Amino acid sequence: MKNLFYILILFYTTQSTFIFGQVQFETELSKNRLGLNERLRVTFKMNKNGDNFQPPSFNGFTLVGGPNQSVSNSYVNGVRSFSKSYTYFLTPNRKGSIEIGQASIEIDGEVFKTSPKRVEVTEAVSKPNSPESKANAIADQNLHLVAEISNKRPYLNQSVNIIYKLYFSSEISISNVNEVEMPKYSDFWSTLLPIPKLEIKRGEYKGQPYNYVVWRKAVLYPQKTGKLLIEPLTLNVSVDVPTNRRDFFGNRVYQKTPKVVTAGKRTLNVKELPIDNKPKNFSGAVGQFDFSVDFNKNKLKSSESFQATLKVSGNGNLKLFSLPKLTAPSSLEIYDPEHKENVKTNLSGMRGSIEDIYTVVPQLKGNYPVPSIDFSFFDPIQARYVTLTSDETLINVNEGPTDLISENQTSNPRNNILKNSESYFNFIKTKTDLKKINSKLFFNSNLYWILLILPILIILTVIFIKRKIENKVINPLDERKKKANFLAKKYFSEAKKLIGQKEEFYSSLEKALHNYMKSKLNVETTDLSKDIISNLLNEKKCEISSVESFISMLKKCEEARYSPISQENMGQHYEKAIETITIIDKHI
Amino acid sequence: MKIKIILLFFSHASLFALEKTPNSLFEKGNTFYNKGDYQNAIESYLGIIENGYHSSEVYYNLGNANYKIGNVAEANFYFEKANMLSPNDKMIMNNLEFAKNMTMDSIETLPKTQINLFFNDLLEFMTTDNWSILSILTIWMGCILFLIYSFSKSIVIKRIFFSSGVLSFLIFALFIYVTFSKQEQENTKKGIIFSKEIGVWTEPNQRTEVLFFLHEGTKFEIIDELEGWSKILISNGSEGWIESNSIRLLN
Repeated sequence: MKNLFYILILFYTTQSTFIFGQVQFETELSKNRLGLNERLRVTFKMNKNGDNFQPPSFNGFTLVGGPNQSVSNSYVNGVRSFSKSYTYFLTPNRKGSIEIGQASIEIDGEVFKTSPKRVEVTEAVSKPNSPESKANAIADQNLHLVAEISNKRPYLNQSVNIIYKLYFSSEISISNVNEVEMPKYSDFWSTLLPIPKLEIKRGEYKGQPYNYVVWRKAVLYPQKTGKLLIEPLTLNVSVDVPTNRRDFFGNRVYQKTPKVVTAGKRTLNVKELPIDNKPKNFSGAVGQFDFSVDFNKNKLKSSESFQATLKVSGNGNLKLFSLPKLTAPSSLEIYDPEHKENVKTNLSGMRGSIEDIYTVVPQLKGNYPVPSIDFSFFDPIQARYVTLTSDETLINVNEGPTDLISENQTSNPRNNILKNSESYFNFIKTKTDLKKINSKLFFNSNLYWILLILPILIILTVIFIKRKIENKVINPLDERKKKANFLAKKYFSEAKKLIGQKEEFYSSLEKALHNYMKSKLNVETTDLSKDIISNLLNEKKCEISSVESFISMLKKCEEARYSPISQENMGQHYEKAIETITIIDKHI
Repeated sequence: MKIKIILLFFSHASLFALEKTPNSLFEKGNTFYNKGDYQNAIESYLGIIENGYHSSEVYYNLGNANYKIGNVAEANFYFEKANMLSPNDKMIMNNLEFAKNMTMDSIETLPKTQINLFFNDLLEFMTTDNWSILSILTIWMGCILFLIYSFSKSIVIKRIFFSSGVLSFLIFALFIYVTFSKQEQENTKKGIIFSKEIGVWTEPNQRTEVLFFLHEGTKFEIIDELEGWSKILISNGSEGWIESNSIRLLN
């Protein structure tokens, strides 16, 4: 009993020494970076014994081995060191940075946890570090994943297919295949072709007969030129490998071993499409196509609609280019097209047709040519560009307005002309009057200027000649008349001044009267007697009284020279002379 | 035998001559047109022009035939030519409107003032030659009226003839102004675009930017020319340079 107590005491003290020493509990990894097809060893190590060990969940990994427990106790120079470890073997399920979580353990009632650690998982490596067991080596020799690429030097946008085949020899059998890493084909437009049922077929691999399964089929359209990398496909396969052992019945015992196979990286060298002869309207179509433009009617009324269908059918990157646009005269209103695709994808690429259906509504009456439409594509087989051209189509709109403006507003008088009567396309004219082309314009010709200037010249010459003739004919007579008139005026004014001086007054009054008569009657002084004057005046149908008064005036002038006459009489005579002259003036 | 050959030759020659006269070509074209053989009708009409003859009717018929087979540029070109030879012809203006509707471009014309419109209508009324004949007629009338005025004795007659003479000289002045304006209008180069689509550039080279695109059949005026490029003005007032090899001038 006493002994037992001592032992307990001893145990307690030894224990207590460890209580004061630090507890270590940590995670150790075999490597921090590993390939997808490699294995990772994780060891949780502690320097004191504990209970209730809880491993982390290992998300992102598959547990392939463990946990293996090991305990070591050693005394070195009287110092005891203890270590206990739990070891796990893992294979990663995906690429990227994966965290290994916290493991926990209870030591002396206290819970200790490890700190989480990150592992970088890269793509599959060619020489994995996984332990080579015999079964693995056999599996390695008999299991191959191969990516078959139809064309390693395609053109941009030319279809390429990849078939992943899993070859395995008849020695082994496989079960439970799953994809660990899927290629993303980031520089490609890709479609995976569904494989409804895995079928085992017989084929050859490097000259040896093998069974194979087509695991995956993909159609790719490169979207970039240059060297493009295709990421590897990695599969995790459970392989049944025969061992040397035999069971009780003499049958071979098979050993199941997990195996990661990868198809390896592949590169495609994508060629640029040739720049020479590249059509202007090339929109990136690569393949073999047919092009058609169809109209569902070409005779209609305005405000009815018709449909134009642009259709490209054939084999190529149908979903990856745009169709050419429909163009039409401005009075055909085109609505946005409806796009239809009927494309199926198989190993040789996309096949089918795409179409744009335009709805067109004519606004005005008339004949409208819808111009031909060009569609260009690159034929990778013949390595040249092909341009297909649709036919030009004439759309006949046989009813409707001819002019939109005249329909809406009538302010423009010119449009009214059309609206009123002739709203149809006129027939040709049947009669013509042909003229020489380049016949000179009448305008600006010599004849034109002559005809233009001639009337002005005529007017000018007529005026000039008229002047000349009048001057020549009328002048001698006229001058005498003027002179006499002038003298008459002169003597009258003299007479007026001379009132009071008898002789001078009457002589000048007489002269004035004479000269007046000369100017009026066109007679010379020499033959101017009273009789002649009275005769001439009578001829001119003057009133007899005025003629008489004129003659009497002349007589008085003669008499007055020799008889005494008062100053008042002179004034009266002067006034009377002027009176008479005004009366005669009125008559002649 | 000889006579027969000569006869044959003559008859053939006369037939040949008949075929080639412009007037018979015109009638032949009309027949083709009525049968719906527009291509041959066009060839017949073009034959007239090749022979050195033309008329507004020939151009009008050419425009019609081209319209029927959907040649946008040609139809517009020939209707415009016909319109130039006989302006204010309703049939031509009507069909020209149809041809204009056929073009891709719909260009809105700039609004004009009432006076501008009136003056334009006056210009469109007749050709330069007709206007010059009219102005000559008025000046001769004015001259005659003036002569009657200057030789007549009665004051009433003189007054009537003087005022009517002055009036006719005023009308003459207006007509001569119209004639010269019409001549100027006819002298400005106009053309039709013949290529399907053509870019209009800011400068007469391809280094600068494209302002807009024009399509076949659109009419324009030429303002300037340089080394195979023409500066054009279209009816909405836009200007730009296009390559001269894709257009055809109307005059």
